[in-house]
Amino acid sequence: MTDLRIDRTLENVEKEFLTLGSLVENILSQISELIKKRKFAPDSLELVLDCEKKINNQDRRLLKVCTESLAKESPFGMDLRFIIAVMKLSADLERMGDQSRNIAYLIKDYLNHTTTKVDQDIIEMCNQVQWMVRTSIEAFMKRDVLLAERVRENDQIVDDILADMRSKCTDMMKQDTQLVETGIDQIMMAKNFERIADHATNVAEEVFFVVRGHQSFDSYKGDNL
Amino acid sequence: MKQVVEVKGVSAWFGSLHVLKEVSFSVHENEVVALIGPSGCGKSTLIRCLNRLHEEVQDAKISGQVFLEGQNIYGPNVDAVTIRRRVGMVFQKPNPFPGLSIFDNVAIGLKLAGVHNKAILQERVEECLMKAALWGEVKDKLKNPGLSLSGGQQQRLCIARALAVSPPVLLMDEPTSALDPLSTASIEELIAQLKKTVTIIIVTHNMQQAARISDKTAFMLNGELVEYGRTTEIFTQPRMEQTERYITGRFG
Repeated sequence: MTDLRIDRTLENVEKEFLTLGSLVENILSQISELIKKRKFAPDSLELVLDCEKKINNQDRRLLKVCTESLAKESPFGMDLRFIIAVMKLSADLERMGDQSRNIAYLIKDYLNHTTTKVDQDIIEMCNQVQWMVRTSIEAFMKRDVLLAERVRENDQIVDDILADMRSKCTDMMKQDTQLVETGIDQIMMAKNFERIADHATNVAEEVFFVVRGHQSFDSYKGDNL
Repeated sequence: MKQVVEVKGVSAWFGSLHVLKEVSFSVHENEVVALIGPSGCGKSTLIRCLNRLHEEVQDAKISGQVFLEGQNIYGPNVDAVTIRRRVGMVFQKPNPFPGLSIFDNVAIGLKLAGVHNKAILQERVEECLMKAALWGEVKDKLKNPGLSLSGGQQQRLCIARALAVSPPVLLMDEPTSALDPLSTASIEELIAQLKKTVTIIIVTHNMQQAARISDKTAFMLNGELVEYGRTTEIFTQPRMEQTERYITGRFG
């Protein structure tokens, strides 16, 4: 097959997008480790903040690469949709970095509190969100709508965990006012995880857009493919 | 919107070579339709079937029907010359009549149609040159030869000439492929203005141009009309795999 310039351009956009995705996965795995091991080393926050800074830089770099690609190649069809999707998702991935940073700030205090029965829910939420982010990026790179649909379905699981946690935390705080700070930190962490899951869902939805020009799986299913 | 052109099952041949295969589509008033497709796919043959130019080629044949404002242009007793007055054509290379002045290049069609009143001719030529966005540049040198103009101006002169007989449809066969970017931009701007009064069907190899100027796009391949639809859809989410591959530069 002929080596087309547009293909090389798209490969470059993919490479830069993947770099951004890897940085987001990296910051999430740092957070996951802090939560699971319950150890906050003196440089833990610094490492997360450093990664978040790299995410911001990569977001800007990716937008520049996309803008140049649009200007130089004037792509059409799926190529155009892919670059538009990457430009939108760059913002989603950058926000995941911000939310991970927020969680890191919260973890510092959270780990000073006594353990509660909600801790396991936080870990579960973290696992679910990590899976969603990793899988949504994989689905996007592979243009795999079925994998993307699994991510989208998983968003409900995260929403349910959040609802359950809020209820547990509220009860916990009502019963023991000493646990108010802990409860607030836990709810705020969970809320940030839930937002990351929403961004991962956005990534998954863009897979439908890239592949068929539709934003949702429902309209995709309506097609005669 | 009123249907101006309706192509029904048109096939065309050069001798035994089958170059158009059962093409059907319709064009409405005030639309710009772009015909795209790789070289040899039948785009130019198709538009030449719309003003009965195809039959001028030796051994050329056509079947099917083409309706212009409801009239089958291939019907019995339909005069090809009359049809060509109603369906103007602009070619790839500007072709002002050599030896004729700028004024006469535009006036000739009217004169041939029997208009000889000088005041009417003057008025009509000015109107057409204005429509073709050329009046400001030539109003003081109307007696100069048409060929003295630049390439872009010559092409606009040809458009003014085509407009002189008030055709409802204007065909354009790669009208900017021989022009520089500035002249191309002025022709594209002109097309946007002209569509208010004329229905335009344009053949172009420039995909960006098709995307910029047309309301609908027809993608042709091997003499067949593969996909016809709104330009915004054809260039962002075409339905056919072949169209997708062509517009993204992966074949053709």
